[in-house]
Amino acid sequence: MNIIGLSALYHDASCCLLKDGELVAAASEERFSRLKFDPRMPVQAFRYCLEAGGLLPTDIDVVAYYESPSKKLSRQLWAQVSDHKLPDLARLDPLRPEREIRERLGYLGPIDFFDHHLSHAASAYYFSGFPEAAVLTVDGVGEWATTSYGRGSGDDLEQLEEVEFPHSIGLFYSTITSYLGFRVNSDEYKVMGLAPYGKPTLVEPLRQLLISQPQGQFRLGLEFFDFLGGPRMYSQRLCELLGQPARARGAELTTFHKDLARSLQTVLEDVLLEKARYLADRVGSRSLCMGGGVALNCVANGRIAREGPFARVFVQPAAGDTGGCLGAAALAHRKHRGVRHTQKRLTHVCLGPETSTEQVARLLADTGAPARDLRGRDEELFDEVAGRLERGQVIGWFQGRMEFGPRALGCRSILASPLVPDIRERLNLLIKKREDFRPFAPSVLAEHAAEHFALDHASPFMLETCQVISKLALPGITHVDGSARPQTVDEHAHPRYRALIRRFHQRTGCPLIINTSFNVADEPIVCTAEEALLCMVKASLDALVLDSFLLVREDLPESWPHLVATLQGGYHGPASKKSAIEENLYTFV
Amino acid sequence: MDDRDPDSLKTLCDELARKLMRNPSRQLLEMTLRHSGRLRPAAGAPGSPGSGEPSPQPSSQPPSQPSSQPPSQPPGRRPISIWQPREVNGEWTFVRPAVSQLGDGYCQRREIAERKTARRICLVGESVALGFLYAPHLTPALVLEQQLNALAGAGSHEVVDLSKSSESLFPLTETVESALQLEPDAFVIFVGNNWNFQESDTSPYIPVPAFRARFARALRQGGVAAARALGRRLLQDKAAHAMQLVAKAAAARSIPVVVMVPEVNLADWETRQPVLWRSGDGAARWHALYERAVSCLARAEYEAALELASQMLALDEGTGPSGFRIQATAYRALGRAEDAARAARAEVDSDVMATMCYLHCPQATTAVQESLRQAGREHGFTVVDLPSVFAAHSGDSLPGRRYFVDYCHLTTEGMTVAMAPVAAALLRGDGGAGVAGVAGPTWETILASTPPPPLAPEVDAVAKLGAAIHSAHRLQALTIKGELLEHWCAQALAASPGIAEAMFELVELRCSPGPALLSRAAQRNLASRYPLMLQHGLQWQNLDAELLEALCRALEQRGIPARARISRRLIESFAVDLVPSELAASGFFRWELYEALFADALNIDQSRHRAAYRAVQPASSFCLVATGESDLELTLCARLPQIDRAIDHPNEHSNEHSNDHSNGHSNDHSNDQAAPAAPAGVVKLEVGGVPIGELSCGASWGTARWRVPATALRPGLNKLTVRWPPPTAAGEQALVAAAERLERGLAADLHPVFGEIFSLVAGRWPGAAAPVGRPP
Ligand SMILES: [Fe+2]
Repeated sequence: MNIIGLSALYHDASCCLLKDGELVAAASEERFSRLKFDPRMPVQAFRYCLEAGGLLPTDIDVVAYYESPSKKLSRQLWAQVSDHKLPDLARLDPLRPEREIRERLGYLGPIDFFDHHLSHAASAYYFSGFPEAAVLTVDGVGEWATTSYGRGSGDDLEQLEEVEFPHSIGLFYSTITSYLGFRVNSDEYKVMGLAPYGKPTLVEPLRQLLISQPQGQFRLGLEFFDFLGGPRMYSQRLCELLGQPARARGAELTTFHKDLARSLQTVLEDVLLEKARYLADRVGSRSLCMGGGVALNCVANGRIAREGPFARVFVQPAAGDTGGCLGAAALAHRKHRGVRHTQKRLTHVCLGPETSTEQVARLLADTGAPARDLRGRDEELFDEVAGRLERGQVIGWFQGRMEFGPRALGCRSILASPLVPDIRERLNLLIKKREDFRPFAPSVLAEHAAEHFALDHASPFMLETCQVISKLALPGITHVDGSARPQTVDEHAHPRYRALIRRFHQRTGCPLIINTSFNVADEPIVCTAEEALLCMVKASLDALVLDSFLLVREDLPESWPHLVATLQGGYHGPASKKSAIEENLYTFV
Repeated sequence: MDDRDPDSLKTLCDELARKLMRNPSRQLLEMTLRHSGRLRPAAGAPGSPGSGEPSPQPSSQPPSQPSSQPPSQPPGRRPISIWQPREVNGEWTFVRPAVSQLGDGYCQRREIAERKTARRICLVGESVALGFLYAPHLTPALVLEQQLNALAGAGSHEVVDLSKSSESLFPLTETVESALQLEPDAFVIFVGNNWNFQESDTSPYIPVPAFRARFARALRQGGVAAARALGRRLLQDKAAHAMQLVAKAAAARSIPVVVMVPEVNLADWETRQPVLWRSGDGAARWHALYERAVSCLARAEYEAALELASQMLALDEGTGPSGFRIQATAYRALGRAEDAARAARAEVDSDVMATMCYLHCPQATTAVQESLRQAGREHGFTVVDLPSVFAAHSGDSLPGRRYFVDYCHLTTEGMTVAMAPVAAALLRGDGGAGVAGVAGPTWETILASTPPPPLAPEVDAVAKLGAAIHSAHRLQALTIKGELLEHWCAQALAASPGIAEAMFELVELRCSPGPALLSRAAQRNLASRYPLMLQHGLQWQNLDAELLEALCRALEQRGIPARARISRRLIESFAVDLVPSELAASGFFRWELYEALFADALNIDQSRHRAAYRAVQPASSFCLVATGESDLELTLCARLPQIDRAIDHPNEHSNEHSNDHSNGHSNDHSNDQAAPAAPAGVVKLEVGGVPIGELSCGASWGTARWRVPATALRPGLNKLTVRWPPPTAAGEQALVAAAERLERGLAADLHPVFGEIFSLVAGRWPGAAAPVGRPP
C-alpha cells in the first residue's frame, strides 16, 4: 500500500511516502525550491517521493493530508469575525488543499484528511517504537487545538483533551519572540538561545500572559496580545506591563531583553512540566511522545526528560508542521490496514535525495576544481578531514541522503573542532552571519556521550539540552549556563559520519565535533552536491567533502566567489530570494 | 484582544465552516453572520475585505533599494536608482554597488559626481535604453554623448545613463525625481516596451486576486474585447499618471524633457500564443487552420495563406497574434509592404496590451506609442518618434534585423539612428541644451557628420551571438526561427571569426552538469577575447537545441567542422542509451524554451508550480540525445487534463465536506458527479518526424512503452515530439469555468491545455546491444 503524506499551505510544506509500512522518503519543498519555509503545495518533494519509491501517480493508494480544512476554516472564521466585518472567504479558501492536490500534484484518487494535532500526535507515537505512551502535542496554531493530550496504546491513538485557540503556548512564545525583535515562526530558537544570559526576573508579569488552569488547560491573558486583528502579535498593554517598548529588529540586546527571554523560557518550561505531569497521571504511562512546533524547544525537552515523570521520552525529529505529513501517512496506514505501520522506532531521518558518487565525479570534472578523489580510500579521507578539523578548519560535509526535518545530522553538515578557542566566533561571523549568543551543537560518539554530557540516554536528533560535564574545554559548544545540545552518534547514524568522528577522537582524544547545518543565513539547507559547492564558496569554507571527494578552498579558481555572488544576484541585480512566510505576525491563513 | 464569547461563536463557526465546505459562497457566509447579529446591518464599505473591489495599485511603490546601506548617507540626499549618495571631501557623489564582470541590468558607471561644466543629460529608460547585448561597450547614452560632442565640441556634453533593464512605470518616475539631484539640463525618456499586461492591473496572469477578479468581471460583461479594452484603458491611465509625475518633477526645475516613442521589430520577429478558448470546437478548428496556413507559407502559396489567416482572425477575433503574423509574412512576400506593416503592428497590438497572453516579449504597442505622443503634447515634451525616424532612414515601413537584435533591442545602427534625432532636439534648443531659437542640425546631418561609434569586432561578435542565444530562448516562431538564429550566428562569425571558439565553449556550457558559470568552459570563455555575460544568456541551464543546430549550420557554412564535434559532445553528456533520462520533468530537455525559461519571471504559478508538464500547444517537443547505435525504450506517463474548476461543488461522497467529523474522512475525486465529460483521445509520438507509437489517453494517467529503432535515430540530437489530440469541443464551458475561477481570485487558463506529462523516460531498449563508448 502506497501512502503519500502531505503537510502544506502554511509553512514548511513537506511530503513523505509510506510504502507497505516502510518510510521510504520524506522531504520539504524548500530544499528543492530553495525558498526558505516554502509553504506551497510540495510538487517537487512529491515528485521526489514517487521517484524514490519507483512509483507513478496511479500507484498511490491514498494521499493523507495533515489537517482538516473545515476545522481550520471554523477557527479562521472565528478569528476573523471581529469588528463585525465580513471574513474574506476567497482568502481563506478552504477548498485549496483538495484543489491543489488535484491540480498541482495531478492526483485523482482518494484523500484522507486528518486533524492537525492528531497528525502531530501520530507523527510522534507511531514512530516512537513504544508499545504504549502518553502523547503531548504543543504548537502555535493549526485548527482549533493548540495543545493536545493523548494516549497511544498498541495500534491505537486516542486524543483525550485539547486546549483551543486562541489559548496557545506556541503563540505565547512567538509573541514574546516578536516583542524581542526577532522573526516569528523562525527565530524562536534564538530566543531560547538568548535565555541563559538572563535572570528570570520577569516570570511574575509573564504569568499574567500564560495562566495555568485545571487539568490540561491554560489560557492566555488576551489583553496582552493582538494577533487576532492587529498588525503585530502583542498589544500596547504588554509594553505597559513590561515597562518597555518592544525591541526593534537588530537593536542592541540589553539585560532586560535577556531577562525577558529567560523568564519566557522559565514560564514555558514550568507550564510544560506541569502539564506533562498531569498527562502522566491521566494516562498512567512512563513513556512520553512529543510533537508540534513547541517540541522543538530542546531546553524544555531536556527539562521534561530530566525532571518530568517519564522514564522514556521520544520527540519526533521533525516535530513542527514539517513532520505533520509523517503523522498523516501513519494514520492513513492505521485506518486502511488496521494496524500501525511499524513497531520500530525511527532511528534516522536520512530520507531525502542523494547525489551519487558518479554524479559528484562528473560535477567536479566539469568545474575543473582540483578535488582529491579518495574513492576507496576512506581511511585517508577521514584522517585528512580530522586533521583539518584539528587545525581549526571549517569543513562542509556532504554524504548520502539528505536529512528530513530542521536539523543537519551528518549528511548535510558544516563541521568544526570544538577544541579550537575562537571557533564559535569564526563560525558565527563567516558562515552563519548570526547573532553570537548561541553556541553550536556537538555530535558525540554515543559510547562516549556520558563522559562529556549529563545525559543517560541516546539523543540522536539533537532535540534536548543537557549539562556539559566534560574535562575538556569545549567553549564552542557550551552555552553560558554550561548546557549543550548534543547529537549522539550511534550505529544508526551515517557510517561515514561516525567513522570521521572516531578518527577525530583518535587524533585528539575528543570524541565530539561541532555540527551545524549546511547552509548560509536565510537559505535552506543544501540538497544537491551542486548547492553544497556553491555554499562552500559563499561561506568561504576551508574545505568541502562531497561524498569521497575533498576540495580545498585555496585550490578553487580565484574568480569563483565573484561568480557565485553574481549568480546569486542575477541579471536584475542584487534581488535575493526572500523568506516565504510573514515575519512579524503569525499568519493565520 | 477580546475573548469574544468563545462557546456560542465557536458553535456557529463550526456549523458555518461545514456548510461553506459544501458551498463556499460569500452570500451564505454573509447571510449567516448577519442573521446571527455578527455583522453590521449594512454591507462592508468599498475596499473592505470581501467587498469585491480590487485594492489600489500595488505597483505604485518606489523601487526597492539595495539592502546594503552605505556607511554614512549624507542628509538631504537620497539614492538615485542603485546609486547611493556619498560625501567625499565636501563633494557629493553617487556610487553604485560593485560592477560584476558578468554585468547586470544597470549602467556600469560606478560614480556619478556633482555636475561640472559640461551640459548634463540624464537618460532614463528600460533595457533598450541600456543597450542590451552591447552594454557596456556601446549604449544609446554613449552614442548620444558622442553625437552631441561631435557637433557641439568635445567635452561639451555628458550623458548620465540611469536606465535599468525591466524598468517599469513608477520606479521610473522615482528615478526621474531623484535624478534632479544631478542638476540635469535635460531628461531623455526612452521607455514603453515593458508597458504590458503586467502594468495593466487587470490580468488573469498576475497572482493578485483583485486583478484576476477585475479581469473576469469585464470578461463576463463584454467578452474578451471588454477585458482587453479595460486592460488598455487602465494601462493608459497609469502611463499618463506616470508621465504627469515626470512632467511635474522636470517642470519644478524647468528642465526640458525629450520623450522617445519606441519602435519594434516588425519584420523579423514573431509572437506565438496559445489561442484562447473559442466557442464550440473553435480552438481546435483554429489550430487546424494555423497548421495549414504555415504549410501554405512554406509552399509559397501566399494567397491561400491569407485566406486561412482571415479565417483564423474571424475565429479568434484578433485576440491572438498568429493570424496577423501569417498575413504579415504573406503580404511581405507579395510585395505589399504597407499591408504587411499594418498586419505586423496588429500582431504586436493583439499580444501584450490585451492582457490575454503571457508568452509575449516586450514590444511597445500602438496604444503605448500613442500614449507617449499624447504625453508629449500634453506636457510640452519634445517627441522623438522612432517609427517615423526608422521609416525615413530605411525607406521601409517594416523595420527588422537591420535595427533590431531581437524584438525591441537595438543594433549598433539602430542605436545610432535612434539617438541622432535626440541629439538634434537637444542641440536645437527645444531639448534645452542648445541655444534657444538657433536652428540646429537635423538628425540626418548628425548621422552624416558623426563617425560610427568605435566598437571592437570582438564585442560586436559577442553581441550578435547574444542575439542568437536570446532569440533562441524567446522567439516562439513556426516560420522564421532557424533562419534567424543562423543569421545571427553567421553575423557573429563575420564580425570576428575568432568567436567560433566561444561558440564551442557555449556547447560545453550547455553540457555542464553543474552551474554553468563554474564550469571550466565558462572560466575559459571569461578569460577569452569573447567573454559572454549574463545578458548574452551565459547562465542558463538548458540544452538549447535550436541554438546548437543554428551554431552547427553557421560554423559549417564557414568551413569550420562542427557537426560531428558537437554531436560527440552531446552524446558524451546526454545519450540516453548510456544513461537513461527523464525528459519532461524539468525544463532542461524542452525544445521550446520560452515557457521553461521565462514563465517564472512572469509569476505564472498556474502553469509552473505543478508536478507535471503541461502542453499549451498541440505538440510538445523534447531533445532526445542518442548514440544512434542502439534501439531505445521510451516510457510515457500522460493524460488529457480536465478543465480546472474551482471545485465549487465537491461530491457528496466527500466526508471532509460533510457533517462527518471523524478523522480520516476521505474524498475521492473519481466519483465526482459534476465533472464535465471526461476527455479522451489518442496521443502520438514521433522521433525526427518518424511515427513511433500511440497511446489512448483519458483524464487519468496512462502509461505506454515503445521501442525506437536505432534506424530512426541520428547520432546526437533528435527531436522527440508528442502530438496531442484536439482540445474539447466544450469551448464555452471552458471559458466560463475559467472566468469563475478568476472571479474567485484563482488562477485559470483561458486557453486549452492539450495534455500533461508526468514522466517521459528514454533509455536503452532492454537487451539491445550496448553502444560503443562508455559502459551503460
Ligand atoms: Fe502544527
